[in-house]
Amino acid sequence: MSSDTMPWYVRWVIGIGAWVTALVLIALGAVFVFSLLDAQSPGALAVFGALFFAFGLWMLWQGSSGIFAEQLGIATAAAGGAMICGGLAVEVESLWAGFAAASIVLLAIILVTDEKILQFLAAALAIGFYVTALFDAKTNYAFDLISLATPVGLALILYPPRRDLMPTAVALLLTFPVVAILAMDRFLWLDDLQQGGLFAQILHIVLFLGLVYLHWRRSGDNGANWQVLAFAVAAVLVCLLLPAGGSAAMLILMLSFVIGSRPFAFLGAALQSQFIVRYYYSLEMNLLDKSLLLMGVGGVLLILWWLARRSDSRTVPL
Amino acid sequence: MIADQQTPMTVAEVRALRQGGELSAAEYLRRVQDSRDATYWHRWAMRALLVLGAAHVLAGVVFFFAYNWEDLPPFTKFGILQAGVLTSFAAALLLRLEKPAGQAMLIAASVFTGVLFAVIGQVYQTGADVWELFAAWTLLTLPWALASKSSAHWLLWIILCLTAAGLYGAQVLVAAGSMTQVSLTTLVAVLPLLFLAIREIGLQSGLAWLEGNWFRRSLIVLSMVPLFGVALSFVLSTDSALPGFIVFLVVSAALGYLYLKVWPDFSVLALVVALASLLAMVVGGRVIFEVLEIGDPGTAVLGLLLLGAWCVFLTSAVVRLLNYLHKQLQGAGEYE
Repeated sequence: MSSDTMPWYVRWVIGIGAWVTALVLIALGAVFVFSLLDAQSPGALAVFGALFFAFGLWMLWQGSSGIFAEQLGIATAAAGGAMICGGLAVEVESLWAGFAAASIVLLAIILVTDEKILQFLAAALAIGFYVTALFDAKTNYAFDLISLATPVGLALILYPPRRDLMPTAVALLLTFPVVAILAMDRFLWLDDLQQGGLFAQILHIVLFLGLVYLHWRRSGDNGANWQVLAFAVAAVLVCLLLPAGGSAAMLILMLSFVIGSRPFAFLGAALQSQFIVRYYYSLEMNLLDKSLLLMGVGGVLLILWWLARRSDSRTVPL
Repeated sequence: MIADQQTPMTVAEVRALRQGGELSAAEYLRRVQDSRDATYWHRWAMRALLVLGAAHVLAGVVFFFAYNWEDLPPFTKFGILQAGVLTSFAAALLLRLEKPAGQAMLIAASVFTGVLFAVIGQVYQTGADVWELFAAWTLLTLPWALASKSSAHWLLWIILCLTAAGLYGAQVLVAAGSMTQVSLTTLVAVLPLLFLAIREIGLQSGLAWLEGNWFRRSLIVLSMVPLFGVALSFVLSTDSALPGFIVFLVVSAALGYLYLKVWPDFSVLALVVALASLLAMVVGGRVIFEVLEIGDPGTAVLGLLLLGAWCVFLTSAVVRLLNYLHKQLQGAGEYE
């Protein structure tokens, strides 16, 4: 059974074993540095992390060493990268330094290995530092600044460079909806400053329309195109009514439709359902207003579905 | 080499061409759009629209009742939930129980029944323990589960049954001191295996609707995960969990034998091997740290080094064992 033909659960079994092993190795290194060598500085953590990072990349560099070595390499390099960034951020007391270090780690990973999980983890780490630094610095219009990740991610997915940056693109595309959903729980909420959000909402609507245009331009089916256009108009209205997190989830659903991607369809659906669930607890409106808004949005979508069904010349069975 | 324009390519092939530098970024997007199954995605879009619309409306209805819930008179609350039970039940009969839609409606009726019980308890402050709610819920929904011919409905019912048993144990037996929490967890964890045995016998007797392997796997996960937790607690600290540890070993061995020799199922073997190897890692750690009597950094480094080696050895052994089992099942032509 080669690693390619293994069922997913076998890969999980081996992966869990490798990650546990990596945790033991990390604990070993930590005890070695902090207890045996008695190093006290967070900088030591960064140096120690660099060793792990290099070891992990070296394991991945070996190539055909099997799935265990591959998973061990990913876990070790990911932990090493996090220790470098965390150590540096604490040492110089700046989250922006952590962000810079995480960006360099991400760049190194992109240049050295094709490993997708590792690239995604490193991108998520860099984005995490970026978002935390923005909120920590009490930056005005933080949500608008965070929403800039979406067009970059979208561009990397639609017009990819030769080097595979898909994991980074996915991490960028997920940044705004995830932060917006977390913010609904007041997890990242900062009451005393202008957080922004209007620009983010407009940006997502523009991107949504851009995707509709890309589909319109390529599709030769006039009947279906009119349906898509009608859907776009209604969707823009829906996006205007909903908070920006809902619009971002709708954007991902539209992306899945345009490029025919089931993983993105799953992600978009999961985010949209999360959005609806968390919306219940958000304190921006009372429950009655939220209820009426959701029913109105749902009503618009259902009317649109009914109209599309009626005019559907394809008679596709639903 | 760029494939013929007329031949539809997969997205993976298009991506490979892009990474090989044989496609420009703009051409990549065009090829991806061409490779998309237009009929499938048209149908998907229509369904997504329907589901999104219905989900928003339903969420709005739930929010509306949540807003007014406190102010609603008790009989209105009961009426709403009873209407939910009756509507779901009628819809199930109308849509027919052989169809997934009918089965889903019957599941909804079971769920509404439990919510109705919860609200009755809330309104009348009956003083009943939570286990009584779940016990009543389990008993009253049993006929629907029996009628449903649906593994999903049975799984829901089994989870209710386990919850009722667990709560009864915790609120009555453990509270009265006639049972420990560890023994209770062990006993409740064994229950899904009884349902598993019934499922296997039912399947052998020709109940084809029990065929889905996911049902078997779910029951095994419901049993093995808590048993693993008990076994882990024995290894780490709790001596009273020894029976649970032994039960975990016996059940692992029995499942390993049955799903290798009697009803070959590689996924069950993988799960059993995974949990057993994780437990072996923890046992190794405990033994190493006990023997070395870790007290200073030097022995801690040595202990972690040995533990790391043990983990590498175990994971490599797991890979070999799974390869061997996979080949055995494939050789027997009974691979699932």
